[in-house]
Amino acid sequence: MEAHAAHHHGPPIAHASSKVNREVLGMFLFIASEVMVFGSFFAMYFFVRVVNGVPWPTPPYSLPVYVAGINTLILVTSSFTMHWALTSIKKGNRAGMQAGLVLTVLMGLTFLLTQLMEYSRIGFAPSNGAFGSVFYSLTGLHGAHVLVGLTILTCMTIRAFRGHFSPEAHEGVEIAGIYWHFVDIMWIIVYTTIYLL
Amino acid sequence: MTTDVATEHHIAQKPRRNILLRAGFVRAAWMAVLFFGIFEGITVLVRYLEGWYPLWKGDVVTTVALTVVPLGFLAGIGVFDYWVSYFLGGPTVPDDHSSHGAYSWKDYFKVNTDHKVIGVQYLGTNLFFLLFGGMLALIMRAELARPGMQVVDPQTFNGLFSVHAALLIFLVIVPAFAGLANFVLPLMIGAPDMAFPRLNALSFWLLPMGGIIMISSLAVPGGPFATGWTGYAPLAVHQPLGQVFFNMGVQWAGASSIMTALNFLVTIITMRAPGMTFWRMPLLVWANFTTSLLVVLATPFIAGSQFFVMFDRVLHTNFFNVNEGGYTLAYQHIFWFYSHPAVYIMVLPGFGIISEVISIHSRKPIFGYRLMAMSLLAILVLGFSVWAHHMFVAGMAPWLRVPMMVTTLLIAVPTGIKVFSWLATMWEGKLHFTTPMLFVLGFLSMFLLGGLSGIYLGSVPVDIHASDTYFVVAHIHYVLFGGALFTIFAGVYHWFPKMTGRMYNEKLGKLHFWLTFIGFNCTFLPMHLIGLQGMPRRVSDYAPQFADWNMFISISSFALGASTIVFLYNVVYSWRFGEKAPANPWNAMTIEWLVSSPPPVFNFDEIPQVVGGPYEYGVPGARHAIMAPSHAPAHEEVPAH
Repeated sequence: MEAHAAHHHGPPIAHASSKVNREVLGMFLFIASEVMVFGSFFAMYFFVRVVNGVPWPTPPYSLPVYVAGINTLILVTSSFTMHWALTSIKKGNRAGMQAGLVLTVLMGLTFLLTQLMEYSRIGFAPSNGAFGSVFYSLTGLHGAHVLVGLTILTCMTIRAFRGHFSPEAHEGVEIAGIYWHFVDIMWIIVYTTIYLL
Repeated sequence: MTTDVATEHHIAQKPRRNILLRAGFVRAAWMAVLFFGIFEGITVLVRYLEGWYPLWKGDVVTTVALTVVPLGFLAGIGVFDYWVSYFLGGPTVPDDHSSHGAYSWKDYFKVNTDHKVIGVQYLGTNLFFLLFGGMLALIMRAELARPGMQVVDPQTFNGLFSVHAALLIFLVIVPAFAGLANFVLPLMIGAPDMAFPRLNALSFWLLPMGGIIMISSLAVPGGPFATGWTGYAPLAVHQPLGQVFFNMGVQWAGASSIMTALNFLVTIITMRAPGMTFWRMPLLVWANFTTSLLVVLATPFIAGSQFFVMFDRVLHTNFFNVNEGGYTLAYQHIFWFYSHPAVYIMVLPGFGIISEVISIHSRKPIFGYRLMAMSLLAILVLGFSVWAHHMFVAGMAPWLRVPMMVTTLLIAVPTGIKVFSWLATMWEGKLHFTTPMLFVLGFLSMFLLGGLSGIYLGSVPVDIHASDTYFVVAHIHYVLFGGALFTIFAGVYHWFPKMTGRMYNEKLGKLHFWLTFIGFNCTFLPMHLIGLQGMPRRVSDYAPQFADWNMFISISSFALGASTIVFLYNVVYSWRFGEKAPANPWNAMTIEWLVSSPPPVFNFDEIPQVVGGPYEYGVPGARHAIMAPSHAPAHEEVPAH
């Protein structure tokens, strides 16, 4: 394809046929896709626990419901600090945004480390029955998402400290926040189905 | 549009002198090796610390390698450059379009954010894998020409049909539609590019990763993956190393597919030209909208199914180990929950191409435009409710059979709406039998046959008899070759003048069509017969009673393969020496034909204004879109008002 000689310097600005922000819409569609990834893992959970009737948790193993409960509280709290970061920058409060982001990252890290500690002390491995397999795959899949969320948030924190974001332009924080809330809500579902039910 | 500080400055794409640091194949090579070294080192270290022996274990090494080597390659080729700088605190810069346009063939081997270049990159990649996958099929037909074993051993034969199917499905049919739509869809809706040009480039480069992984399985000890493109567990868990190449290859191709779909959706929703309401969108746009929804929602399920097999192999989980509480049928349920919607992913964009070509080359408005769009959505919804019809004989819960049969047969309703609408569109039209139109007519007849055998296979009693026979092979080739691939050929011929700026050779095009059409039917029609007589699929040897038909099929298949040479010659020759194409050789109304051939680097000087429906052929004074004055090609025939 020989491109025609361009007699102008850039493309025209696309007509905005929707009020929705492109990046926000993209993130929501990505989350829809992510929900389906979790859906396939929950399908496996359903087949093992409901269809096959595997005892939950399979004796002699047990699940640390209270430790994981406290961990859940930490992750839920981090969603609020994330929201605080976003509302702060909307009002032009840079320090608030920076503090909110740092707190969110720290709480996310705490959650992830607690989860790893739990793995090392829980007393069973992925190879210990279908129960162990489902437990590790679902919590592990969620842990991987926490890691991705933390990576994004860390980068946004770096950006926040390097002077980016303003009351008018803060999609970076907003979109990272949307993802973080998704990770948080997903954990509540994982916690309920794996630990509580 | 984009975030903060957009005005700070442009990242000038100054090419670094040092070839080792410049984005390109050299950097890609050493970064792939570097990533391999680092991550295999970490893996071995972890295994040593945990006391897991052997430290260097085939499945583990391969899984890690097939994850990080492509990542290293992609980082080296330069698709992540902007995001790395952004994440480290660099300024937010909307794509500066400095890489737009391709000025020599070398530009197609670089990262490019121009949707038109990416479209051609896709189609070139698809063509390569089409030829490669086709060659594998010919080796199979050589083996099957006579009963007994001649060319390959049974495990290799299993590998051949597995790699053939996986390549043709994941590397040809699904992405070829993404390639065509990448080129024409932004033009059709009056957008200067896709919504996320850099993501678009990444989506493309993920695709060859998946394909190369699948092809390289041919070279590993134990042979390529040999479980069919379905890769059923628990068989897949106990196969040689090649199986890991399928598990991982599918993940890369799937990720590519999801990202492209997301990009299409955002582009269609947020970047339509003024006046382009949903009910004025060309049906190709509708088709890709629907398909993209399917891809975003369904493709994660195949990712899930492949993760489970990979976990069973690498982490020793028990998902498919019945003794430990695993559930083997879970694989098939999860796999088909993607792979049934996937057959619509493989044909709905083709429906869109058919609608465009039929309307333009019959000079008639599409019959029942709104119903055509609605039936796409109906197929989308119904497509999620039929997956277990692939499992009638798999031993699943018997009560699931009849509901799945009913929903399966229900899909004939929206599909029937489409077929009858196409026929009604041609009715009393002024038909131009150009090559794309011939492929469309070929599609209509072949897809009808494929659909009819689908009704048989969707009915439980017939399916129990015909399951795993050549009847199924015939069915899938009638819908995927006579169906999907014919629409891709139609699309390539139809938009060839727009993509290359040259006309293809009409005589050679027609020759290609007739050779393909006859070769196709001679190859696959007899398979219905021997299938119903009981010849099982996926076998390298068979009963002597099927010998004559198989010899005939093998000879035909080689003729079918040879027909591709005509296509190749036509594409290469016409691209270089073909007659210069006018802007609008088909006298069409949709926007991509209102710009020059090939389109300007930035598509438009000004975004066009849409004023009417896309298919008002034969309606006096009807216009679809009005271009900014500098764009209207001089020879454009504007209907009199």
